[in-house]
Amino acid sequence: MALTPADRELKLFIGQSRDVKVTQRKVRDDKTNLRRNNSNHVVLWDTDEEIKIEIENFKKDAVTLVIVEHIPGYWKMVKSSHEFKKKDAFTIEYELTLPKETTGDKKTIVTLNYTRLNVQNNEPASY
Amino acid sequence: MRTLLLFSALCLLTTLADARINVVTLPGRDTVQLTIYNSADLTMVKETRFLTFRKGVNKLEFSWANTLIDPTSVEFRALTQADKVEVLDVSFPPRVTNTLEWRINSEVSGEVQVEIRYFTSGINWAADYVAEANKAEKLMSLAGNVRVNNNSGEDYENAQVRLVVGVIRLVEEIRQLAQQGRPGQPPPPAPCTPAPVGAMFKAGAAFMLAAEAAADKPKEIVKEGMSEYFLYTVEGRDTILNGWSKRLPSFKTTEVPIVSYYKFEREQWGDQVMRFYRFKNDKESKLGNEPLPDGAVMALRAVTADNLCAFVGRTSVKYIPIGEQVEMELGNDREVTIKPKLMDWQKLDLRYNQHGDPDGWTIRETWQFEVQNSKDIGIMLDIRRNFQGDWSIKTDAKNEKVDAHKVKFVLPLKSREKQTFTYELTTKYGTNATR
Repeated sequence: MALTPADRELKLFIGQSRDVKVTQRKVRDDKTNLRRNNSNHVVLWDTDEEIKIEIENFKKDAVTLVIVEHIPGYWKMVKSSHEFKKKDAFTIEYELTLPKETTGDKKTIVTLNYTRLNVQNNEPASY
Repeated sequence: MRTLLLFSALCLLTTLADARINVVTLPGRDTVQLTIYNSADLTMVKETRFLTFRKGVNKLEFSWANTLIDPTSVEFRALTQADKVEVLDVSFPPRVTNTLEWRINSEVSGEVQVEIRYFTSGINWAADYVAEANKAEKLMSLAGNVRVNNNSGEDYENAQVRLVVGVIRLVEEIRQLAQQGRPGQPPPPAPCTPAPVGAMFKAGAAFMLAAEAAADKPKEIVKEGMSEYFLYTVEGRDTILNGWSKRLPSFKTTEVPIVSYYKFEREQWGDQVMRFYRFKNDKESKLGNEPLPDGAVMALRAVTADNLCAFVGRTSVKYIPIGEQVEMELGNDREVTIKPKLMDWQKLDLRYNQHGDPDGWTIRETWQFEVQNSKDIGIMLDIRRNFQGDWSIKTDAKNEKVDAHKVKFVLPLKSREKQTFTYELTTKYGTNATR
């Protein structure tokens, strides 16, 4: 634990959770708006990506779950099933309240569809 | 140990047909003056003695065994009866190491005050300071000391000590220094040619007498400016034996206004926030009487109402001229935090060359700075950001361009205050760039 001056927030990591299960899949990863040079090589493109996150809470209590997603480069969110917070240029966070015993058909599903623009495959993912 | 022998009255065999060589016994030193040039490990020693000469040729022997005296610099001259006492020659006898002999012709018989001057190395001095800030870090008291170390192999008893601040480069410059205060005198032809007894020396002697009368008072260090040099004269006399160090108080000033100044610059200190005490060496700050030589600083701060002190940090300051602003770096402070965050990144304005490949683009970044002061006192915060290439920023925060690649944001933060500011940085690359 680092020095925490007065009035500051302190986070303690107390271990892994086994009763909250998250399954994340990328369900679409397309290149769009292809731009080619005179030799017909693709030099620049946009993407159309969709991620589906399925969350099950086996606990007998409601819990708060924060899902952190990293998206590199210059991107725009097209559609998101839940409200998110942009933490920095390449990080977003979903803060979800999972009701108790939401499993099977009652599971929580988050979908997000974003596009990355002017991709050259040299985009920064951190700074 | 260096010895000075003036052989006693008995005649010695001599090749001079008509001259008897008188060798006189040696009394102790009358006065010693040390002028310590720190930058070149050089000390000028000027000592006076009363010698009893016989009429005719006298022989005076000078030995510098086991000392760091520069033998080529040794000079002798008479202060009284100067026109009647004359050095005939200086010889370096064989088989006797580290010794020279003066043959001195005296037209008078009796006591003559003489001065012997030489350079030695092995004596140095250093300044150090103690800064004590009050609880609010608005005022401090500053005390300066000088420490003289003698490792020259020679004991200097009852010496008047003068310290030279400034860098000397050549022996010629020492000569210039020696003639300061005597305007109208042409420069002596050689570095060690004795200059006439100057007002400075006499004033110094008078000063010593006055100082001895008030021996119980702490010694004052008198400072005088000399062109690019500064001369500190320690009041009274000190005995500095070989191997010893002596620390002398130089000045003490209370209620010097200071600013508790914090700096952040990633390229210099990473993510740490550095603490500084900032003050000015001028009259408004109750300083400014003299430049402050470089030295170590111990910084303390009163932490309770009854002035219990806490150690803040140890640092060093460079030579501080009069009127100069000083920043004493006191290490990082974890109660002040700065979190720079890149909040948005865009790649825009693509351009293509004749082959259709992209060769120009523009990156637009939005940066957010979250600054927080968890201290119980208000501070000034100085944040510097460095940018490369064809950059421009847009912000509502007050800022100042330091140079072509640096911008600073200075903001006061009250106790326990948190602030956020943002700026938008646009950098043009490739063919988009115009500089």
